[in-house]
Amino acid sequence: MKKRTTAAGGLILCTCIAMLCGCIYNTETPAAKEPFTIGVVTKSRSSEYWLTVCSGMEKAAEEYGADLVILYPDTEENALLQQRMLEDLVKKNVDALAVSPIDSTNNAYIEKAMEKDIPVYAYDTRILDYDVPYIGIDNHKAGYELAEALAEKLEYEGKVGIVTGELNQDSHEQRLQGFRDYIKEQPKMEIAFVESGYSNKQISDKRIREIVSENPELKGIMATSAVTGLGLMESVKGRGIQIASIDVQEDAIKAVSNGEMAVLAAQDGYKIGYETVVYIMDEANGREREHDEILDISILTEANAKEYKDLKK
Amino acid sequence: MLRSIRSKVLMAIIGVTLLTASAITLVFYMKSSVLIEENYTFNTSERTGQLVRTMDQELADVYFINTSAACDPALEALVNRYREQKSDSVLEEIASLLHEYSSRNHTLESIYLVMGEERLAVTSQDYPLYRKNIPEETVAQVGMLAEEYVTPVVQEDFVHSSGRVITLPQIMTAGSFEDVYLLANINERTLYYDYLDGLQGEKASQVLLLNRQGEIISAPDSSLVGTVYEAGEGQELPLTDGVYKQGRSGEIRIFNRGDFSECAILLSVTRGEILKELNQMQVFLLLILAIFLALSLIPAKLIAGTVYRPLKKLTSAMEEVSQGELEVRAEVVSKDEIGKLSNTFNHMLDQIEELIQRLLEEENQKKDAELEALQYQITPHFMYNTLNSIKFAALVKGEKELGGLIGDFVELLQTTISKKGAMITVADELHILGCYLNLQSFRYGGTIKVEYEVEKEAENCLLPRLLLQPLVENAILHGIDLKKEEGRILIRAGIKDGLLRIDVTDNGRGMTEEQIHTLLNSKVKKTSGLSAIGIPNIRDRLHLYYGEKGTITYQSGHTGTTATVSLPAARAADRPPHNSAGPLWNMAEPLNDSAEKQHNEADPLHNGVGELHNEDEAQNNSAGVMSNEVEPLRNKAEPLRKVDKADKSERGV
Repeated sequence: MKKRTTAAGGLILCTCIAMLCGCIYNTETPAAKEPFTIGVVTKSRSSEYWLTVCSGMEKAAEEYGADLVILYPDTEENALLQQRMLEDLVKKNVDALAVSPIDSTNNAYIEKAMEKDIPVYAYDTRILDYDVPYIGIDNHKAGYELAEALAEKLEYEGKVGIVTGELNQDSHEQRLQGFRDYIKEQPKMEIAFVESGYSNKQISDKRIREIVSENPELKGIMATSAVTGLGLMESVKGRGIQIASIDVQEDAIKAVSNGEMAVLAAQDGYKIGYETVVYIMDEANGREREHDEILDISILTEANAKEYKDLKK
Repeated sequence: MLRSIRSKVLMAIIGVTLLTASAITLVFYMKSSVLIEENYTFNTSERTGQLVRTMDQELADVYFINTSAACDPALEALVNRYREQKSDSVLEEIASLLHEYSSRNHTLESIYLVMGEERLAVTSQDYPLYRKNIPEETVAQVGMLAEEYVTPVVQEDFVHSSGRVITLPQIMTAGSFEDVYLLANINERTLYYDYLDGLQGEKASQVLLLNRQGEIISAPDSSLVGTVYEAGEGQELPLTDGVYKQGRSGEIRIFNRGDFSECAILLSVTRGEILKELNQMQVFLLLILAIFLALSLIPAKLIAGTVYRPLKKLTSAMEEVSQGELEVRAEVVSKDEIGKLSNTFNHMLDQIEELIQRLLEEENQKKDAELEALQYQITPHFMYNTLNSIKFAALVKGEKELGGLIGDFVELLQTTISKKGAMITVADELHILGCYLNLQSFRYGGTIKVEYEVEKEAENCLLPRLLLQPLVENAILHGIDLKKEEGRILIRAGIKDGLLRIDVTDNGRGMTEEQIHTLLNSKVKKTSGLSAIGIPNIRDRLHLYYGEKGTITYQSGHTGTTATVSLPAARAADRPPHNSAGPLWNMAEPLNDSAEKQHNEADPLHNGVGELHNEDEAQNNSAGVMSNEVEPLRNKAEPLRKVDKADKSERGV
């Protein structure tokens, strides 16, 4: 009896010590495979919009345990550099490519990606020369609704101008088309001019002065990016010209909420970036997705801008 | 070593203290070692991760600069111009443009522009600005690297011929060239001091920067650069970032790879190195353990003393008692088990003392009794002697009959009063019976005729004293009518089949079966003297002495009754001369415990004077009871008895 008790006591003691040691020393085994790597190329990283896109992507990548390699050309016009980067990412054997093409119609690197079975996804801007899934807003609709909101502000009459980005970028092209389509429906409105080549880039002061003097009855200008729109807003201050623009960024929303900018089509960069990675990871994990993922936009005016900002917080 | 309770308790307390303290110390030590290790690995891996991210961004920046240059139309134009003009001044322009690019990042040491066709390299450095006639294989290798890799590779420095360079290769993208490459070279020492030096510290046994291909691109020992990392057993490069611990005492490896550059920092550290500071703690803990152990000795000694003190008192009391000091009592100091034990011990001592006291009293009483018994003996002897004197006085005066009667009475008295349970011979028994009958005849005036038919060989047989007297008495009292007719009693004794058989037959009125039954089975009465010694007494005595072999039976008709006593025959000659009752006594002893009891009861005097008596009996068959104390009396009586004997023989019994 006594022996048995002693033996039991000894056993319990040994077990405790073993458990203690087990808790203290645990050997980790290395993971069997490398994490999924998504190669991302933006159009640039100079605007807040692109920073929010990257932020959204990083957030989603962290959630899915994926690695991100984000490369960005210096400006939204350097298609050559973007394509070089995309080719280099293919060379690096990333697991998927996410592209916001500077040139929607010239994407030869996709051939090389296809050779290596690397899927390519377009976000923010569609790729036109290859059939590639698209994650982003309906840019035509954005342009149309933006025009609608601006027309309302102008009481459905007067001349409006358009300053757009590179038209080989499908997003800018679609926005332009949408805007045009709406203005055409309005009998008392007409498009005075279309200036292109300003992708996330400010139009020069000199050019604005020229435009304004050429179009003395100009009531409003639509810019296809917030950076351009904000530049315009500064230039035409006090001339009674209403500005409409696209993209979500702090200063633009602020401008809308204090009445300096008339309308802003809120394209949420963070959401686009986030949804892009989710879409890619879903497909990588064998989940079927619809061909395109179209995200909502909100049209912000002085009335609802503050509300939207609070919602974002 | 552990003989005393005190040392046992002391050892137990110290043992428990030591065990507890050691367990706590051990757990504390283990816990702290784990904590230290976790802290170190967590901090180091965080730091490594941070450094890798910074390095990755830096390398991405170098890549961006190099790729920007590769896409630069200005550079394209210069290359085209050189190809047309073959002028060294164009090379200088290229060099200055490259210098502009290379100066945008401090990690970027230089950029080489390699033109394949011309086997020419233009550098961003001040000297040499360019190098011509580069070997074809080198150019081919550059081309191959640029086609294959984006991330850093190690390559021969073909411009400075000073060993190896770490380079990010790029293909000239602007223009339609197929043989122009840009190499962004990184200073290995810059990498080392920017990213590895801080990690090297004191603890890490190895810190390496490895590229995708597993080549070392930076290490504390720069001669390792360019060599492929050789993985030992179980030290293969991990695929993912993390902390890898190998077993209990093995090394800990922290691995972090950059997303873009795919360069990784591998840091190895042994657990022993991490826990180095803890060794000091070890000494400290051991010291604390020793101090606490020493301190625990004080309460341990106190507790052991508390437990031991009452025990010691009890032990010493017991020792004293065992040496005969019965008055000693253990001092009761506690109410615990030892207190109870002391109380019980004291109580036990009290009882022992009481018992001894009682025993002493009894011993005294016994002595008194013995003395008293001796005193009693004096009286009968005085009586015998007086009676003898009277007898002789009667004889002298011519009263022969009276003198004979007094002589008979003395003999009967001697036999009866003497309570020794001895055996006597049939002859002696018959002699006593004769005396009794004489006295009875005198008393009742009638004549009782007694006939003896005793076989010669039966005369010498032994039988319990006064066995026959009650039978004769019974015959006289209940059988023979002394007044009416002449009573006749026939006593026959003979030996048959080893049994002594004695018949006592009277010619009286006889008995019914019922009377015989009553006679044999009535209860034994305590008797004194000669009267009313019941027949059951005889039956019991026979049974006690001889068991089944001693019997008494009655036969009766209309006239006369015969009582028959049967017992094993034993001759007086068989027994040793000085111990007359010995064999029979011994024989009787095992038969029944009550026999001994009876004997003891009957014999307080016998013990005291036994020896003397035996001597006396051997000398003389009459029952003399003597003791040393009564010696003078005996001497006095001696001549009288001799006369008595002579008288007896004269009468021819």
